[in-house]
Amino acid sequence: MLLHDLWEGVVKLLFPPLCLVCERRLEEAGQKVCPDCWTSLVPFDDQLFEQKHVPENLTAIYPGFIFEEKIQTIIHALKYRGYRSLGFSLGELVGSRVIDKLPQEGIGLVPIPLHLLKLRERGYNQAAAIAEGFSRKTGIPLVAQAIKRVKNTVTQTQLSAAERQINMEGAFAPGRIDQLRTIHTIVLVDDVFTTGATMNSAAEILKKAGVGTIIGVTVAAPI
Amino acid sequence: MNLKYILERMPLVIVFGAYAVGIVLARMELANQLLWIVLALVGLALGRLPWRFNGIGTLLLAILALGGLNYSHNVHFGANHLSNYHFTGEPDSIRAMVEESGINERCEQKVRLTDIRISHGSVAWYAYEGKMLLTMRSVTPRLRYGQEIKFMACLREPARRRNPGEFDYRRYLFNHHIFAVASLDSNQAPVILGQKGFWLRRWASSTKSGIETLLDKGTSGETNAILKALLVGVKGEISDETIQQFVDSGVIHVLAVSGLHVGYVTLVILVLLGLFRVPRRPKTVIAILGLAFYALMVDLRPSVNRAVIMAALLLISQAWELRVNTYNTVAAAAFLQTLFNPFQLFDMGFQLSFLAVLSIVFIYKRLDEMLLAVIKDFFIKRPILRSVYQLFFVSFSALMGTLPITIYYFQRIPLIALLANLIVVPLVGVICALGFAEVILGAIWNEFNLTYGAAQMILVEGLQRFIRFVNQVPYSSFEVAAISISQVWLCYVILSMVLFLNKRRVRWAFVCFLLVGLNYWVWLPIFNPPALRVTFLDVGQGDAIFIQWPNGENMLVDTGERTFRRDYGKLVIAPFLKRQGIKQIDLLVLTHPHGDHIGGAPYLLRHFKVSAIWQSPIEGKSQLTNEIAHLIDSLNIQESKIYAGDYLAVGQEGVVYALHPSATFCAYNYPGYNDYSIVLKCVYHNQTILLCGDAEATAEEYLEGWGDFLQARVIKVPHHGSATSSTASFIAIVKPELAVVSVGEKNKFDHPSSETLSRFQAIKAQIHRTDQQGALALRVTSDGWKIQPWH
Repeated sequence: MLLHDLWEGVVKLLFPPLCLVCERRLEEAGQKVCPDCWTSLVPFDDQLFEQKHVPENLTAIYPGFIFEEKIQTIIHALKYRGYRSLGFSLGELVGSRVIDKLPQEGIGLVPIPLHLLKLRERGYNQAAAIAEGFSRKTGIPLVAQAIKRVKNTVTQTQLSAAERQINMEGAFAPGRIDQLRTIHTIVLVDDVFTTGATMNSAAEILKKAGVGTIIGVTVAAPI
Repeated sequence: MNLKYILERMPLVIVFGAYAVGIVLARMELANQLLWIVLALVGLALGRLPWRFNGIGTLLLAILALGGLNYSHNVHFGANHLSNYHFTGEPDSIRAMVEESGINERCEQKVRLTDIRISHGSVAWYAYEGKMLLTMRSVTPRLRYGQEIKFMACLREPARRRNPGEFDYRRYLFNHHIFAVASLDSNQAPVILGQKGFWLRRWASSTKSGIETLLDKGTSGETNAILKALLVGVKGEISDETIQQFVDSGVIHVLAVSGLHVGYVTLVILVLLGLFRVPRRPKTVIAILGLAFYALMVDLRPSVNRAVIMAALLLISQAWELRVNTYNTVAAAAFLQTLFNPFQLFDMGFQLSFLAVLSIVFIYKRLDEMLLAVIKDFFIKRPILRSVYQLFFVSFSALMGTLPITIYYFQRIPLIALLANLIVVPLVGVICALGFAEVILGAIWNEFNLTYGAAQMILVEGLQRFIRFVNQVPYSSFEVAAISISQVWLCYVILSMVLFLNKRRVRWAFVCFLLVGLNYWVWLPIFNPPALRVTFLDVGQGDAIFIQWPNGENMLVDTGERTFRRDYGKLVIAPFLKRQGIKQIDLLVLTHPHGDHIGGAPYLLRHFKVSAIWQSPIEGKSQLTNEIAHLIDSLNIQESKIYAGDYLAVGQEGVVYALHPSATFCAYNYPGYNDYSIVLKCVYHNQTILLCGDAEATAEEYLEGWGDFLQARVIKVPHHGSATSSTASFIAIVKPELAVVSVGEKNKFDHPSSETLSRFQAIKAQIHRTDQQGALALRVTSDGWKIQPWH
């Protein structure tokens, strides 16, 4: 016990635990973002869901939170600063928010895949991490590698909606489609939904493979 | 920015701060070991109490005491410590383990030995704590870490500092736990008995020599030496001249293995492990082990330790999703190193390395915040200019942050570094990258080694040429006077104020500070009256006396000896003058043409502006006197033959009289030069100093003719205290209070003679011997003379 305390003390000295969002001291070990910041995220409510434009290949789109500064910081840490575990936490949060909107049977989770080069560079797929947390919360099984990314697309942050569309053309290809035989509904998981170009492009492949309903779930989306 | 803010974000900065203060206080011998223990216990005990004392303050007190304790524990030596060894001057049998060994450009092997056992002629071996430094005049056998060797040698105490401001070799070795030195001639090779020590370090050490052999095959000459320094930190083989060029142009930092190298090593390991799809956390662990191996390979230099610790913390934070703070990481590296060896805090490499990193992090950030947005925009929007901009300001920040201690250690402002770094840093980056590729691929196939080697020859040659070119640029670097430690601190206070000038409170503080400073400057001369400063330098067997008059004029009487191995003009006098920012000698007096008085003159004539020279009327006939005559001629220096009665007034209160030799004396043909020495009487107010050169009894007899005019409070004892000088009648007239004997240790003439010394003792004169006490600094005012301590 003393040794454990000592060890924790040393770790805290070397790596002062601070909330990624508000930079305040974290009390419990293993936390990355303080409870206050988690609860202060702005949920994407039902009214907003209806207003959201749904791309052609999707049936519905359920973002967990409104895209603002705090959630942006968290997603940024997940994507670019190596905080993979944030993906699990985000997935669980989003899962608990949207679970009652999803059917119970014949459903599977497909994270938007990363191109192999990007995956090597980052070490993990952030969408897969989110999907894993989501699956843990909702019990919906993961359908890994149903689709794959064949084009190493450029980052979309600077592109317009039309440019994104072109950028995403032919970005995905069918992977192990045989897994989809018993599944009628697919939940596509990604970090942020902006214009829906990525989701739409991925959904197109799934639709061709014969999936009836495709629902998009993301951590956040702008209003 | 309050304490809580810092404690939450960078707790180790505070911890290390308290710890370092403890070390410094212990260095100043403010408390002994027992007191530190008590202080630590008090801190801990108070910290445990549940009431008002419980807080960070008491804990910091305990940490401060830990620093003090760690330092004093390391200087508290037992009876079996080398510092308590009885240095007899007789050869002993010594067994020891090699800790580190390097070859210098003079083909000597410098070996640091630890785990020392000495046998004093008997069979028994006595173990000693502490380390020693062995200088071998041969490069074979090439010694490596872990080898146990046996040899016969005389143990000596490390040389003390002999002149004011001189590099303190003993202190330097002390900081590295070295308490004895010895040397072996080229025909005395030590016997290698076996292997000892830590296996991993032995392995690292043999890897290093493998790399050195590889580089020897691929490259040659100075390129080879520079490459070895860049890749494995072996700096010794680079010539002093090249090192000086690196120092002068302010790019010496690239020769210290540090962040750049650690970055490359990390990259290589991570890429290799990535190819084998090693998961993130095992990859991190292996990378850190690899870095530790590299640190062992380059003999755990402070700069590389710093970089390795920082890199390891960064890697861990990434793999385990932990937050890092750069200042906290820097403090962690400093704390860890000084925990093992508190002396490191006083090591130049340690200080420069940490200050450079802190400056790059802190000053760069501040500058970036303070710079005008217009300028920034212009550069940031252009990718090529952006990197130039960043590199320039990084190097500017590093220069600013390290300038005070650069001046402290090197008395130099390498202004050109700002521009030189723009080329040198990227170039060294490329050379290192190619070097690592050369070593890795060359180990597999020799052809690679040769090919890369050829490319490296070109690049390193380019680097050298560039640095040589940079050194020729006028005003590329300024030599300045040395500053004291308190002045270094003052510089940092001013620097931090300047960096926060945009804060209102700091601005006020700065204004107050300036006012106080100006007042101090104005009032200083009133509390500190003008004085004549006389320094009898320790130049071994010989004379060199430097005199500074209150009006700023200076004179040097004699210049010490020049032998095949050492030129005191270069070794002692020039550095002494440079430390005080003196570039001009107003009057150089060469009392008589003997080597131990004029040997240093050629170097000084070449490197300082000498306005006038006084010489004895007697002509010397040696290569040395010809060289000096030639230099005087070509430099067009005003030269005078001095006879008794010549004099020079200096300012309002000072006069220099020549009392000897007179023209009539010169008409006689006395044997030797000594009796023709110029004898000077320096008068300041009513105080007199008599400088007698090498005058002997014959000259003294003539001098006695001056009668009471000979009287002096301080005398430079004639002819190094020889038995044939300082006759009783002569010193009875002079009546000195202080007699300075400028003489070398164990000189072949047996100076000073005990009879002469007893003659001075008889008239109750205080005696100072440079062979025993080193240089003597005097401060003479109208009230009398005072010895200025400088040790």
